[in-house]
Amino acid sequence: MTTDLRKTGLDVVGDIAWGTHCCLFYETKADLLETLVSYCAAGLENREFCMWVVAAPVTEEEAIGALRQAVPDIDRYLADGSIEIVAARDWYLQGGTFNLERVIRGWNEKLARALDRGYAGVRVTGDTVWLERTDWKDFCDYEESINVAFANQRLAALCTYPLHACGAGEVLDVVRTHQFAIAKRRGDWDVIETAGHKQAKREIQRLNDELEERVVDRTSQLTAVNLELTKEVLQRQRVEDALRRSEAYLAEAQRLSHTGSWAFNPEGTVYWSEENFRIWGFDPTQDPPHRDVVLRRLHPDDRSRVLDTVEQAVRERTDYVVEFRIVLPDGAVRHIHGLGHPVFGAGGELVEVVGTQVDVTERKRAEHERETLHQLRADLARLNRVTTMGELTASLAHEIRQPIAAAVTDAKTCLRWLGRANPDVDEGREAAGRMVTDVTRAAEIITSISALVKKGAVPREPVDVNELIREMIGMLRSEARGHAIALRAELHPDLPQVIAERVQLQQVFMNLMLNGIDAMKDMGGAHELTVSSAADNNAQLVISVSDTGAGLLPEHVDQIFNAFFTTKDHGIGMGLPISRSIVESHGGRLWVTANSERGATFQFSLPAGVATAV
Amino acid sequence: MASQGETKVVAIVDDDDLMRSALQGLLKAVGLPARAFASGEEFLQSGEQHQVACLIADIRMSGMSGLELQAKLNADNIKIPTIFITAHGDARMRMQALRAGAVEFMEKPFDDEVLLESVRVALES
Repeated sequence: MTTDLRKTGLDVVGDIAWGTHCCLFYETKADLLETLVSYCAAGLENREFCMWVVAAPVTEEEAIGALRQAVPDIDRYLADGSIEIVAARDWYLQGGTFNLERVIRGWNEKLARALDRGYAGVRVTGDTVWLERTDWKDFCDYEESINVAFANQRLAALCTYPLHACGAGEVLDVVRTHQFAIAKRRGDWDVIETAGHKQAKREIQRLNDELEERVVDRTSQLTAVNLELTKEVLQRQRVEDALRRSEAYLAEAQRLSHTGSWAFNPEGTVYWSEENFRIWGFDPTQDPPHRDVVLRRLHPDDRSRVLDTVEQAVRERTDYVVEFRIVLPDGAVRHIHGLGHPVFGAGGELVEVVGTQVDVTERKRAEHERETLHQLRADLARLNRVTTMGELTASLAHEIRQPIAAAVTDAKTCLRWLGRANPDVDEGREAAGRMVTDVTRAAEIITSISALVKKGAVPREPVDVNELIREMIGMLRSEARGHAIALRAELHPDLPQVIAERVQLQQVFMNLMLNGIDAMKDMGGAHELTVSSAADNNAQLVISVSDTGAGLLPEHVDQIFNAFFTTKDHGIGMGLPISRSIVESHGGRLWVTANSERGATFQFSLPAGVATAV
Repeated sequence: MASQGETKVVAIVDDDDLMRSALQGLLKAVGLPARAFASGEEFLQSGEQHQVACLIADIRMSGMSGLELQAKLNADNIKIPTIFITAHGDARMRMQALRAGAVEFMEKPFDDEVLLESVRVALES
């Protein structure tokens, strides 16, 4: 049903719907013309095809003339066929008789043509003054049929009746057969509606109101739901964005840390992260590989251990950690650090096992390299010590022989005192006491030497650097003396201890002191090697080994700590680089400066009393 | 050169404290008074080089060596019968010492009887 309302052009009626069929009773010709001109003008203005069926006393010319007053370009409308003004006899009484079906068919044809030509619909008005009494009954049937024929069509009809020609019976017939009637009598309007029409209008109004109410209700409900949905969509979008972001971060973190994650349940694998695919060498765009395929990639030596670990963890309801290797199709071996966590349901049944796998291949390789390097450095350092001790054999032998000779002499002396006719026990005891000192010194020297050439790692311990210096001076005294070099120590009285590998520090001293002796031994004249210790405010010990030799050539200063650099005709140039590496591994620094007068000073720093990582 | 009737003092010059004490103890056990010095310089500065009847000296010492001390005494025309004890002597060093007037050249560890005999010979010369 078309709902748009049409302006009638008549104030008393207002707007009507398509399909409206009403009637007008008029008293004068002026009343009739005035009403129909307004009616047709409103139709033309609203792009309706208008048809005015005129009857005496109004002629077609009079109708056009009256229209021209209200519609100035009526000629254009007439020319383009927007309005047709025809005589009632020509329209209703073709062939001299009134034929109901023909006339209704005529209206429908007009409508079809009008719609074809783009009009909104058809507005008609027809006068009935021509009606003979004998045709009245048929005409009443016609008016009834119009109600049916026009209903739901883009047609509206205003039938005009001259009041003076209608008796009471006719008026009642007319009113009954139209939806409503209007009457214009000398300018005054009356509107007569039938009870059925009124009731229908009321019913429509009520239904309309109800509908409107329901529409408002439903609309507000829908609006609320829509608002809620919009909110939900936004919320979901936000959550999805956050989730996507979080997933991206997670994937990136997994990629960077070579960590994959996975989950499986008793039915099979349910989840593999992208990184897990990469670690195991599977295609991440595929489904997670079947358990059997995965197991085949485990290193054969590790397979049963991994399976046992997982089974045991599930049985004992504990998490597990397992290290294993996998073998990729190209033969590459990867080391994996796996963690797993079995999840159980309320009934105690295994729901799934979730876990992570970290590819630690690189870490393992680096660890291995570090260990190898560490071992190489230790071997080299030991080689340096053994070589040095080899060079020192003569002077070390002297160093040991000295206290032994003293011990032998003291022993003989002791025997003399005790072997007298009157043994002198006091003197004998004194000699024996000296003997103890002699032998202790010899033992100390041997201990230092064997510590220096012993193999294997020694733990770091608190070391008294002053004591170490004294010991080293003792060990190298003969060597220095043989070259007429005086050894001197200038020791800080309250030197803090350092945490160090004792043998390694001894090695540093030995290297630096022997270097100093080497620098002076072939120069002639009196020379001196001074070893001094100092402590600064920053809890740092600074140890200096200073010689009075030729000093350093400026171009050598940068090179002397390089491996295999040597200015001597013996040695392989490893002493200084090894010493620097030892000092640095103890958190210190080793450097050299030229003395203002003669010779060079090697200095190194060590942090006081703090254990440092190797 | 000590004169008759005076107590004959033996001087010991060795930079090794243990050796010094051991020699001093040995001489004391046989009733010989001894004076010990840690270096040739110390001995020369003490002025006692004019009194001692015998000198026992180490060859290798920090600072002045035993042979340098001997040369210095010879240069000063001080003639003390000298016994050298060394931890590592060689033939050339031994020859040099004996040519310069040493009465004995011994290697550590030495025989105490031999040493004491040498000291006695020196004191009686």
